[in-house]
Amino acid sequence: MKGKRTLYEIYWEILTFCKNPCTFTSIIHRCSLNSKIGQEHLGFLLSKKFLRRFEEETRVLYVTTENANEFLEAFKNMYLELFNRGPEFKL
Amino acid sequence: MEIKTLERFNREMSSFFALTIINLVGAALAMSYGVSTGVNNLFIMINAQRILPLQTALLGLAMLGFIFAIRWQIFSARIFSGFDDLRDEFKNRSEKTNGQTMTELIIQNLAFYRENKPAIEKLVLGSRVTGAFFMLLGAIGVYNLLAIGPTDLVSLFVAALGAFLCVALGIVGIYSPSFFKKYSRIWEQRLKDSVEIENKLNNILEGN
Repeated sequence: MKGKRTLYEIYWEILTFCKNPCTFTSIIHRCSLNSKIGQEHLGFLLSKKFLRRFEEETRVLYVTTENANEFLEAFKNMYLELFNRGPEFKL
Repeated sequence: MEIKTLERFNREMSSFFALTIINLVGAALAMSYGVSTGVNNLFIMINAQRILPLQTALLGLAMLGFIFAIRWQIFSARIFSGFDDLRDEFKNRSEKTNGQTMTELIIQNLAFYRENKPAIEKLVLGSRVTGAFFMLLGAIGVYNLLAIGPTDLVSLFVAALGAFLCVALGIVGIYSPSFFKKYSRIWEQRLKDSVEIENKLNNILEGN
């Protein structure tokens, strides 16, 4: 995903993408992050226990935990409401 | 909820896409008409082998209009390019109507607006200035038509068509920014709402 995003939008993207276990490279590629920023965001989400890190066949994988469900659900509902609330753009 | 959001997305994206196309075409026509008006007036002076005040004024206006039309075209193309990518993404994902897909699309559109806000503001200005130039050029053309009057029917038709095209470009240039302003107003409100949401999301994050 390209463009200017807020921190929370990036967290939402990472957590949504990691519902299936992912490698660090695939996460930063999918979420258009550089390696340093990606490390910071993953570090934060790991510290909040929204992500879990584990090893599988020499690969380090990240997966979203159940702790993130409240955040993901609230984010989705609030963004859908935000979009539908105001007037619609039309020509 | 998701279906309603999808339909709304579809309508909003189609409207904005049509607006960018109108601006691209308007800017391209303005550029070409600026060149042709400039060259025509230059040839009149070359044939007359002297500098004519009216033709000099029209040449100057046409060139200025051309410069502003380039600016209008550049910003239109920039916005079109970014939005076309977004539209492709929407087409690819719209088959899967679920909350997650819709949320991703909202994030993408917010990101697009944040990134292109300065370009949209410049486009509004470029379009309005170009429109004003072509309105002026059209007014001079109409005045010229009424005051001097072409000698034959073909010249009359060509002159009338030229004046009409100028006025039409002027109207598109002056009127289309109001739609961009409407688009900006709607997305600006959504941006403000997203800032409020951030506080609530922060509470959830801190609560863990």
